[in-house]
Amino acid sequence: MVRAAVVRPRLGPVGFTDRLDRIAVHPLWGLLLLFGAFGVLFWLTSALASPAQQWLETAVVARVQQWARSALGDTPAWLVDLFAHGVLGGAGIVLTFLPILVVFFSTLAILEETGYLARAAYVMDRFMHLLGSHGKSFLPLFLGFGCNVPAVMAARIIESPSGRLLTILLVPLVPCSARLAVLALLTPVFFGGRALLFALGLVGLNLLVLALVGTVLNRTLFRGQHMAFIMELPLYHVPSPRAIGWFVWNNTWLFLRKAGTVILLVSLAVWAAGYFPGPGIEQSYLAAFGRVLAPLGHLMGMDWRMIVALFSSFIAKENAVATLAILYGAGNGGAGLAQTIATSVSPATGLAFLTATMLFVPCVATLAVMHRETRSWRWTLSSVILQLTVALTAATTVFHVAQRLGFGAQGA
Amino acid sequence: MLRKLLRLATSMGTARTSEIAHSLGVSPALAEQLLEDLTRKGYLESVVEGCSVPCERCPLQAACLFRNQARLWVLTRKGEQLLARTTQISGG
Repeated sequence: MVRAAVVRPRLGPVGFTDRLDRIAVHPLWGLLLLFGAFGVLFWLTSALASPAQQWLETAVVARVQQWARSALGDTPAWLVDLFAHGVLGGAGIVLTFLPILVVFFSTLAILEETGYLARAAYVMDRFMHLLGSHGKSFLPLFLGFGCNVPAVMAARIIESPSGRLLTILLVPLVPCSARLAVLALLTPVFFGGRALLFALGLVGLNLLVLALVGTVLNRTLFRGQHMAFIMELPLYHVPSPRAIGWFVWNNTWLFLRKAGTVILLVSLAVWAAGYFPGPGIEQSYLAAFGRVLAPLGHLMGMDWRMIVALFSSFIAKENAVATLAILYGAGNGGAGLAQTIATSVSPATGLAFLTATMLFVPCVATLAVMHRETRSWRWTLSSVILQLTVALTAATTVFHVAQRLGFGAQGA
Repeated sequence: MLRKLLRLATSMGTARTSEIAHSLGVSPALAEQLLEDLTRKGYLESVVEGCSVPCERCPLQAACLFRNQARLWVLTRKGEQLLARTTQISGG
């Protein structure tokens, strides 16, 4: 009688979000879709923005450099060089990447506004769960894709001190938007038409290293504590042009402010250390410092200039680009950064450099927050040592494998 | 029903509310209501507040990538204890 009286309501119809989620959060298709989304991100960046960047570099910055040299003819040579190479060649070259960043941030904002990034986080969480590292650390790691600084702060939600520490140690291995932007800027410089393939490979490698280090630390420090998680994903919706515009403008403005302050200051410091006492860059203080690090660079196929560029990314990730531009003398004779680099750096070295940059010690702001959150220099330094070891080991391995595969020659 | 939800949440790794609703045979709105009940009773904890300040007061809101983020809940110690008791009872 009860069975006859009770009418079970039909569950709601399968909506658009549910249909899309069958693919977007599927363990396999979801992961492939995530790589596809990163692929579109890098493809759009290189196809739409790289020509604009090259035009800005050769038609604007190089011409202003030439004009500066002729207009400042009566002033001391060091002052001319400071303006032409330190300011225009360093911070100026970074500014030419503005079109790349606008396309990069627009695509990222569209992915976020549609609700896809939340699915990407869910897929990544499943991936981490498969490898045994899972728990409350997921949210901070997720935030790390935006910026590592708030990600380290978000580790406060974890009550257990060892879990909090593990998360703080793992956050710098998440590729933040500044690292992804450097990747988008430098892959076309090192690999030209094959940039997309290499960019995707490097993001994949970065996520793999994150999972491996997470698994190892989880099994030792965190003792494999797992935690149940329930997630309510937002509905898919049509992105709002206003929200996208606001996001792109804010990020572009932040980038411009950084270019005018930190990047400019580091460019000037790199220029000064590379100019004095002279004559020539090979007799500079920077070259002397670089040669101390050269044996380390040699393992990864890098000369002293590349290893100095790698270490300058410690202040802010974008400095790697500015330092490369200054030290390789981009703009001399009208040649852009891509041409100058292509003649002196092999793809194997470029790949090792990008691998090291993606996994390198985080920027100084992240380290400062790490110290504030752990209240321990010992753990902050442990993180630096962990990152250095991971970055240098991965870069060395990548360099030797790439050489074996025939990427060792310039223009290969 | 609430205990069943807790059991489901722990057996699925990271569970989506829509998956839980489907497994319980209820609407997603009711599943959300159940999650709110469990949170009020202290068995679950909402961790979206993981960002140390609310979005409106966050100095990083201008550059934040994740305004459209997922809502998250984790099992509390009280929830774990309840689950352990339930498992023991059903096991014994």
